[in-house]
Amino acid sequence: MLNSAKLKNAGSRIAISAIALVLSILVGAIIVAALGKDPITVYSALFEGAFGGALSLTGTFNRMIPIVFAGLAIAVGQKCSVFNIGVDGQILIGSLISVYMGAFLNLPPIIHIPLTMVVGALGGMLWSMVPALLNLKKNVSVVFSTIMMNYVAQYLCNFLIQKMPGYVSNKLATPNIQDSAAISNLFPTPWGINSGILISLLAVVVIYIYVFRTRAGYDLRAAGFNRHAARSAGINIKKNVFMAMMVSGLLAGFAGSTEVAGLTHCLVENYAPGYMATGIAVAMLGQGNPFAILLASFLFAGMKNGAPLMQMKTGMSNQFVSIVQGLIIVFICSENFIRWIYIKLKTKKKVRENGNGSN
Amino acid sequence: MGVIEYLVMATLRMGIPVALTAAGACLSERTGVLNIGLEGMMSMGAFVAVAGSYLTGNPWIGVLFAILAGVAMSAIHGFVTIVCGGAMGVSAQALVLLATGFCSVGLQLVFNSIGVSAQVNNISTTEFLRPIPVIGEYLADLSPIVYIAFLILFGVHYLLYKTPVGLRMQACGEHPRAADTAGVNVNRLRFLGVLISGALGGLGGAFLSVGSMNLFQEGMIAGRGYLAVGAVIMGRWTPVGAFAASLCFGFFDALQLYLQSIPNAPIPSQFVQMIPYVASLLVLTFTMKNATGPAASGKSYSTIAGTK
Repeated sequence: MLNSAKLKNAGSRIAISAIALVLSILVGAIIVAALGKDPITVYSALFEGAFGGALSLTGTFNRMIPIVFAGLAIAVGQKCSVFNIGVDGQILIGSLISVYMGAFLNLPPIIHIPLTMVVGALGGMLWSMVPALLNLKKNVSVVFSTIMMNYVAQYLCNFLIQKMPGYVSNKLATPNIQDSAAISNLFPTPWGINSGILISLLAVVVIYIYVFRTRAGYDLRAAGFNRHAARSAGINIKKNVFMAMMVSGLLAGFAGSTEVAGLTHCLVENYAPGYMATGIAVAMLGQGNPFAILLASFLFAGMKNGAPLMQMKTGMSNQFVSIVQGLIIVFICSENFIRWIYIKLKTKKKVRENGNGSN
Repeated sequence: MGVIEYLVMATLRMGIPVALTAAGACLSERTGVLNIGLEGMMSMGAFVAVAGSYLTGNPWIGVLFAILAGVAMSAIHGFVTIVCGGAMGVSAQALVLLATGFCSVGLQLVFNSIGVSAQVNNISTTEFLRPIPVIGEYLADLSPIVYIAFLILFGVHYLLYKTPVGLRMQACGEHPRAADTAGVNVNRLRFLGVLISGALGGLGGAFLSVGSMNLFQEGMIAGRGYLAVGAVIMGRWTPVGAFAASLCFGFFDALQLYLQSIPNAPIPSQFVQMIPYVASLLVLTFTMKNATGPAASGKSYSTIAGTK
């Protein structure tokens, strides 16, 4: 099982992600310097806000929960060569449905909690079903339809939030969900990490098994790798693309419902935390492997958590984190270039060595 | 002003930025490079135009800077997708992210504010047209960029269909290997297409900020870059078609603005605001029938990635 070829492959893939990360940090440092601030101060403030102390670490772990789900959602889609950029809209709808389930029903927690979470997740799946169907039946580009659905979700949610009974006008938010639907923290403060993290860990394992250890996952990946070859092998491409969108939407819905059930307990108008963009960065950095995505999510959650402290201490806008995120995606996309340079350097070295040897 | 006049003017004002971007996107997609990140290029264009106008006092310099910013961003996209063979959709999302970040950081840097810039000089009217009888008033109330846009539409159409370069570009998008065998430098032409799309995207964004308003607000692009990509599909990948489809979206945009201005409207404002997006989705669903894009659209042709 663990032979040297597999290890080498894994090693080179980790190296690519690590190089992309380092390059992004360097370019980020250049940008910071160009804006007249000291990169070391900025990055250390970011680090402190992310990992320095119990409260910061707790915040990072809590922020990780929706990011892991968003990253998994994007990754599952990518495994089938489907780019589901409707995750933002699916998260919103999932959150909204969770609020409906959580705030207006009165059930014992043992029923209420799973109901809130799962029905919320199904809401996300429903929202991804529309672009999936349009693609299946009418051949509408998934990329375009999912983006449009994001905007529709935004406005629809704003409307439904305002019309919800119990609308809290000074918070511009829905009423809170009942206590029976909320999931508690694992430890008392200051280590108040929410139990949603256990659900996200479970999701990582389940998705890994689904994608890499089941027949259905194999079909999914085959359809993503090479449609023609997969079709010749009898794999139904359309069905697999549809399934990928469904699972992706379900995961996005879980991002919304775990956040509502564990952290926010309500939904505010114009909520746009940008989990999709982070999800894309995380899925790319983790190169589609759920466990690597978990690690990458921790890193990005740290960046997001540390950004406000960085802004307070150094005046650097917290959108700087978006720039680093974007850079990471760009560098990972250019992974072929990094590999090419590496091979060039290696062959140059070999030629030089052989030249010396033959003399 | 009557409803018809308002709708026509608003359609032009809302549709031209999308149309400019769509013309560029059409060119880029015809050479085989999907550029979904035009939303980011429009954002950068909008911000840089305002910043340029603020720093130099001349909005035209701002527009020039915006075009350059669009070119710079699309150069990154071009390098990643054409030279390195990276995934085009992902690279595009990265650019949108970078653009959002740069605009935000830039707002803080140049204007020392969060969310919205100061008001700047703009070019929202074309005064020398005002003396024209009857329609002069209307013609003058449009930014010069509107007229430039029509010229650009003619230019792109001519380039694509009437020049050898344009025909070679189309070949790159249909079957790059065949074009390469015939001696066409596929990647250079693709790069050219991407750079032009970036320039036009920047110009489109500049129109939104400096041509019809006089400031930059975060999120002011509101998905118009994506609508431009949809317009290309609707227009069956022809510049004129994409332009016309964009003006259609502009009409829906104008309609929702008009409906919002009616007091005590029966339709809630959120549904009205949804109109451009739902409409574009519906139109695309029902006109998609036999729409096929350039055969090699979205596929890289790079030596480094081994897809050559």
